[in-house]
Amino acid sequence: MAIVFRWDLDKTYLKTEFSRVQDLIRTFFQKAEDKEVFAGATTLIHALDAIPESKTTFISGSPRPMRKVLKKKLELDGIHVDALVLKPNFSNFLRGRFRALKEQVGYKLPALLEQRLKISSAHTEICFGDDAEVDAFIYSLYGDVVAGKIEPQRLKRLMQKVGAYEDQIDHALELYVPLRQRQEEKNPVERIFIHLEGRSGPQRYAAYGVRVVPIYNYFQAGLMLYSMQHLHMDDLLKLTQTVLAHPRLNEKRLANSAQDLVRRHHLALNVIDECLQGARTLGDKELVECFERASRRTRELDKEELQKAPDEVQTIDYEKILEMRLLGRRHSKDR
Amino acid sequence: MISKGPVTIALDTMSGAQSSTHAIRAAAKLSMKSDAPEILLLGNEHEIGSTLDGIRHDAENLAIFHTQAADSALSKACTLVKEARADALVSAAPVEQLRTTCKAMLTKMDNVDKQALCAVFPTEKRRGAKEDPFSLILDIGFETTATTQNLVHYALMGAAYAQVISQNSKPSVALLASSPTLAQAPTHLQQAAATLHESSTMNFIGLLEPVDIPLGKADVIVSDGFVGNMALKLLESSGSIIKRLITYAHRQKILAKAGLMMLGPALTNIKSFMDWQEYGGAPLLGYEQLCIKLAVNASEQAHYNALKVTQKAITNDFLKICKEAL
Repeated sequence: MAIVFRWDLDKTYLKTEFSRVQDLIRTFFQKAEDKEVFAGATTLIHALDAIPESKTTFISGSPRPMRKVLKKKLELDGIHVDALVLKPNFSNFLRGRFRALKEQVGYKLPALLEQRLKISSAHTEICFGDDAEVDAFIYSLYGDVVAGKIEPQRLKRLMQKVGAYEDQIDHALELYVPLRQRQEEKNPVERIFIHLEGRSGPQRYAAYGVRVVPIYNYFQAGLMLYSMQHLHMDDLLKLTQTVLAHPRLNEKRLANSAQDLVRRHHLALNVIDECLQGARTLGDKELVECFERASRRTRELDKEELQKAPDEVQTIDYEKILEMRLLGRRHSKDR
Repeated sequence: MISKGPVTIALDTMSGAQSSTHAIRAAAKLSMKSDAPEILLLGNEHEIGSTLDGIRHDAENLAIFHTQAADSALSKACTLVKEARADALVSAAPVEQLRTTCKAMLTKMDNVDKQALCAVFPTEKRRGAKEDPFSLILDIGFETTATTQNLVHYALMGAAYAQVISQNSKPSVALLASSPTLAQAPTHLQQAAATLHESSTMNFIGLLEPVDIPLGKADVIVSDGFVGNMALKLLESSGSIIKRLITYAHRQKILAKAGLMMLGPALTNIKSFMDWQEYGGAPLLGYEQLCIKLAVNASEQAHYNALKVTQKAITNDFLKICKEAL
């Protein structure tokens, strides 16, 4: 199966702080060896990279001068990278394009479309982002553009609305033409994982439909990928072991994470039982306890609620999402 | 001794008079702290889930236990602590409901035949390493009567709680009476005072009149449930009485009106200071399991404070210290 895993870097793979200028400076000068990764992320990438014909790409808002250190970090983590795209922030600054320093849609969307044209149309994609920026918006829009669900005029209006520069919009529209000439998958972007690094309420992503799955950790991503048959049981158990070894996480937290996914209708109950069976076969006591607890936790949920089908979003109303986002910004400024 | 591993608290979200939102939001807020406990949210899953989904929280530290009705949420919480699946329970259930459920489901401590419900009351004096501005009053109505032995147990358990929560190494303890003269007190009070005086570990300061409670003359004030409940209700009502008197004065003269308008914010502060319910929860003592009770109309902040106090009590092994004190 030809599949591409597209990752963001900061706050998705790497633990990065950039809420203050001091943090930005510190991150910029931080050595590769000092960069921290979220629990289980490396193990998950390794497992996904082992899938035949799979590709791993990183498209990040980090500035291009950081390429050397980021590449070294990924090498240290043993990650094979098919593409590493970084933001031209230095040239944005020199050209006085200050809006582009922060704005991500005008940069990431054309970058994703460019990457798409480099692979065959038979590839499906799974994207990983976070709640710090607009990753859910970008990945969803990208998926819908490739699937032919967004007309060029609408794409132009949306990009104008988010504050993209004219040349960025033109570039996206140029890439749109060859994409439309290809026989693309009906749903090229199969799933979008949003790492809730800022612990945002998952409801924030309801407007994007079930394709977008907000996750609190990579154990949750592992469970989902296993249920989607992209991860083998052995790999999921290995990932769980890695996450359990992390000082911040323990079996209670993982059991609650599993219950959370089941409650939000992203995961079927039987997956936890399959994991428990897998852990028993492996004979790892800690894993067995973890999945036993997860199984007990999920059984505490309301059976009637579990049987209800989640609200499906037929078409994403990007204009409304942007309006709500602008309203939210104004609201927080007023406060 | 500090207990090992993450603390688990069962939070009854249904039994209070307010909507469950206060309890859920408080749990969500605490879940994001780096040292957050695991919080088991007992209540209606739909309500809990829809509240959580709309606000920032850390799902790793929260679990939902679905129950249909308020009494089943409290019963379930009791079952969880009894089976050691949770370290403590927090509930805003009315005293009647709490009494019935806890008596039926929790295990009494050895030799403690009557339990005591505590309340914290704001005082002028500050105490302990954290300079807490509260006194602990018990029993405030879990039981009606108390024997000499019961009062002594209450004093020992209350002092242990003050030691752990306020980090007050030797809290002062008093018995609530109508007069500070021992001879005028009922016999069981005199006998309890004599026993507490003899105790080498207890900092017993004698009898205390209700008027001395707000002055903070004792860190722990002990009485039977009937008297304690009346004293507390009288103290609670002071804020409302002041407000009524002010409203009355307000109507009388224009000068008073103007003066009161200027004093308005300060008077509001006094009222909120007097409102002990805002300060969070207080324990139900005498059970092998830890139970923290909130006021039935507890706010989000009160729930948050109660959860923090519960976490502190468990982390500092309060129940063990309490049993050793008895």
